[in-house]
Amino acid sequence: MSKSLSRTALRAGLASVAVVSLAACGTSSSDGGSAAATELGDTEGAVSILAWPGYVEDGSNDASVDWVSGFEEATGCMVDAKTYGTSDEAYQLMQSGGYDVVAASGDLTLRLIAGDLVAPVNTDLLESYDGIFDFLKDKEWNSVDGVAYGVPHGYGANLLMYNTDEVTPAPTSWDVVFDKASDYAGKVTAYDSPIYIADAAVYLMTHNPELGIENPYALDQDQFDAAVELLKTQQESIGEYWSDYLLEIQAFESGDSVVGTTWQVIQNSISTGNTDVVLPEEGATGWSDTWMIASESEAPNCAYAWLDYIASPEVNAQATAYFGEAPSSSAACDFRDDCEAYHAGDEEYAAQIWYWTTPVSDCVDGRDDVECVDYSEWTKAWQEIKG
Amino acid sequence: MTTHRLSAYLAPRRRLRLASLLTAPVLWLGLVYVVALAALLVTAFWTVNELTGQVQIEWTTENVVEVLTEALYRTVTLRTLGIALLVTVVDIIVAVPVAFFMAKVASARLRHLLVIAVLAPLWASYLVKVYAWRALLSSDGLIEWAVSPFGGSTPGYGIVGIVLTLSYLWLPYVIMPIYAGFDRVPDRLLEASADLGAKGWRTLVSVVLPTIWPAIIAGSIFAFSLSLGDYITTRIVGGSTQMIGTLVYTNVGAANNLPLAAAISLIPIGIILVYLAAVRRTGALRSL
Amino acid sequence: MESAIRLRGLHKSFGDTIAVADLDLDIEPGEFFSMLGPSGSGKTTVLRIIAGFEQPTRGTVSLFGTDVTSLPPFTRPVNTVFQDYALFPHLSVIANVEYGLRVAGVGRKERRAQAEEALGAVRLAGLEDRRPHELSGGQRQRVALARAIVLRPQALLLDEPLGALDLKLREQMQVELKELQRSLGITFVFVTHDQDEALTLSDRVAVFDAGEVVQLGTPREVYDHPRNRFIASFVGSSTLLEPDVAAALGLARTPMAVRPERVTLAESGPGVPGTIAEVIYTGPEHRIVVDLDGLDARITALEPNIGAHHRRERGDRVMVTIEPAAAAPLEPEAA
Repeated sequence: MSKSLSRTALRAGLASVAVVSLAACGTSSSDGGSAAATELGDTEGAVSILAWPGYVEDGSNDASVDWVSGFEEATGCMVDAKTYGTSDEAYQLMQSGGYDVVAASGDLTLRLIAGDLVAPVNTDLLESYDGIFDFLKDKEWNSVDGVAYGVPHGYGANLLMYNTDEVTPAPTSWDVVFDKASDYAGKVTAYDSPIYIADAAVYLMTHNPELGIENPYALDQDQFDAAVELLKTQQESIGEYWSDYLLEIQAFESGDSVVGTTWQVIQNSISTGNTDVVLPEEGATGWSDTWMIASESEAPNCAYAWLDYIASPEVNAQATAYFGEAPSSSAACDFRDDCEAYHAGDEEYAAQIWYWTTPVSDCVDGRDDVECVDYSEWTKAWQEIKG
Repeated sequence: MTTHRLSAYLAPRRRLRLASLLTAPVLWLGLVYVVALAALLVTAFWTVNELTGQVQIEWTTENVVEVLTEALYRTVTLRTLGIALLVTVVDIIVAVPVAFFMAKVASARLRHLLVIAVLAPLWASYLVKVYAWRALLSSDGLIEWAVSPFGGSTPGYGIVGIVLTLSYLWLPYVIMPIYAGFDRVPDRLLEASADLGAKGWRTLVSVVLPTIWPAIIAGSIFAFSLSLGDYITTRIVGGSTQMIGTLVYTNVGAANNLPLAAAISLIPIGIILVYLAAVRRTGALRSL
Repeated sequence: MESAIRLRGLHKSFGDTIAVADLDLDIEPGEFFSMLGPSGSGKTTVLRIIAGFEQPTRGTVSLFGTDVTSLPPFTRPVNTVFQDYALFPHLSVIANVEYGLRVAGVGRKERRAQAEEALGAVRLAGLEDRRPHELSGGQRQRVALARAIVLRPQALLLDEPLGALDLKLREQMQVELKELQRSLGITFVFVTHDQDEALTLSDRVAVFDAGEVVQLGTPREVYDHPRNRFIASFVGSSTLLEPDVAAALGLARTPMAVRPERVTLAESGPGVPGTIAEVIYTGPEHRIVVDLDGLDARITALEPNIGAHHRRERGDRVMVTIEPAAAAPLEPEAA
């Protein structure tokens, strides 16, 4: 008797709660565009920053690498930093909220802008902005209709890293991870993100020119399928895909991986001394990052303070040197002696890197006679490639 | 109403008492668990705006259809199912003799020490244990060091690594119910079986196993369901292997396609329901 | 005729506790042999050693001429009926009974026939497909019995099998067990702490105390002529008489045990005078406790309850006499 009572009560309770919550669920329609700040006020005492590893260093990784403490002393904004491994991860984190500042690569910026997760930046409020190289400003990934959405940070290429003992002679081409990958079967690694398909496309630009790929982020269905095929073949030789840079460091140190894509900062962190990096002859994908401010930020003044600070020449030099990328501040090279190696300020070189950008169906190379494959298809294909 | 009058009011009204006692836990179970889960799963029938990534309430079955028809999901589901079953079998094979020893052979003092030893790994964090296995399986790790003199080599990161790690992680959850099951087998039954002419192996198969079968099933539920949904272990020691959990994770994260992720989640839920229904038929749940 | 079961120098200790102390025992083929004693007296341990569940610390066990001391239970030609029946809960009644036959490789039809025959012998036909948890205590007991006898053991070992049954059922089972033993003709070794049971069923009784057999004989011998105080009070009830009291009653001047039913009370006549202290009504009899004059002793008498003219009351004066042959002289207590 009481059993059926509690059962009925349970059902009724569940049904009513379900109806209420489903009705409440739904998309909150967002009107476009929050406004940029017009003036700065007092700093709020704390700022939460979401960035690539190596961008917000406070000495806990390496005691000599610290530019956060200086910021905290100067502004009183205590920094709470979180690192992410892929742009997709960062997008998800920004959606859940709680961050004031984000360092976003080109394949993330437009999504953040479209999702109204970041606000335009009033560059007049930043002293350091004038010192940024002009060729990095007002690009398609960091501005919309002339409105700037952030401050450029460094830029760099995804390099080929190899174990100097196992991979001889020293490679000069990406073929060691594509056509010749089976030589190192089980020990090849690649970046675990759908954006890596562009790397395959870059390879095909040189080795299969008949496909006619002009821009690795603008692939029509045939070009896309060719890239996917290449990657499916590569998968047979892959030991593991990496998105956590610490795991890649460990894998190369132990010899589980001997060849694959990497960032300079990873090469700098490997302690076993038997690895080296090269920018192969086919060219490479890369990133050009932008510091952006969250639209829901509760510490906009600290956020602006950070943007100003990280773009200032000496700090910009420190941060970009540590990560292994070219600086965005023109005066940064006064504080770095490796600017040549990174082609700092070299507009032509910078133009050769295929910066991460979100593929959309309106081809970014300008073709309007075909439809390009958009990012959600890239994501699905990526899962199929991994199998 | 004073407490006295309240209790006098409630005393003869058994149903009301029952209902008010049940309200809090039922509400908790209902709201927090069931409704939250239902709300998540209902998104499987919605869509996502591709550029903004926001979920939109546009009813569609395309996600569920895609999950049921695309080869990728079939492959990954079968692989995950295979791994989960393998882990379950491995754990049962290891757990039965260990549990038998603990329950029937070990002295009281040794038994207590063994129980502590079996449960101790649960104190360490999940991630710590999985990373430890990553180090073990690495090509310059302990396993390589141990087997290379004999011409072997570490299985490395992959399905074998996943099975080893998951079997290790869930083993305490499998040993303990089986140990309790053995404990409940009266020594008398073993003596009766021997008295009637059965040697050790025969007693084990004809008397012990049927009696502890519900306990084995209970242990298997842990190992099977925990392996089915796992995605962290596969990320760390699985090399390039994808399991169902990986697909859900990447769809929530990389693809930002919550409806598709919810649709994929329906697969392990479906498998578990089928499994529990099968287990129920064996009567094992009744004895638990 | 060689013994069915022969124990020589059997000794079992658990750590510092001695459960069985240097026991020599012969059990004859075809006899209903009881081992009687209080808890902890060693009788169950001896049974388990005969069955093979325990190994003796010293000594030998021989079954029908073969030394089986170190052999495991599944090789011995004896079967056990356990105190808690030990039926396999996951098997039906018939499967339980067939278990030993199955292990021995007997074919299905033959197995079934023999099992049904055994169930018939214990009067439990018709319940073949029930599970043990669906049976009453008495029914389970019969299944345990059937399961053991179906294998035609050369000796059946029963460990307090009737202990969990109520009185009426127990008495009924006692009769059935006796008949079963007679019809099967095999040796029964029966362990019990209930002296009534032992006296009713057995051909011979071994009384155990602290790991030793303190008396071995037929029920009549053990009951009528208990050898020491322990046996006299454990087996049946007796009044224990000190030497001077015994002498006053016309018996030899030594400790004596006398059964209540052998004590005669009369209103007058020869004997020792006394006053009735208690009258206890037990249905068919009265137990009458008498304070003996001048002797600082009490004696219990048993009188059948056959009518008004034997109504005794507290305070009545009676004369107590005992037939000399009815009293049993007791061994002196061990120092």
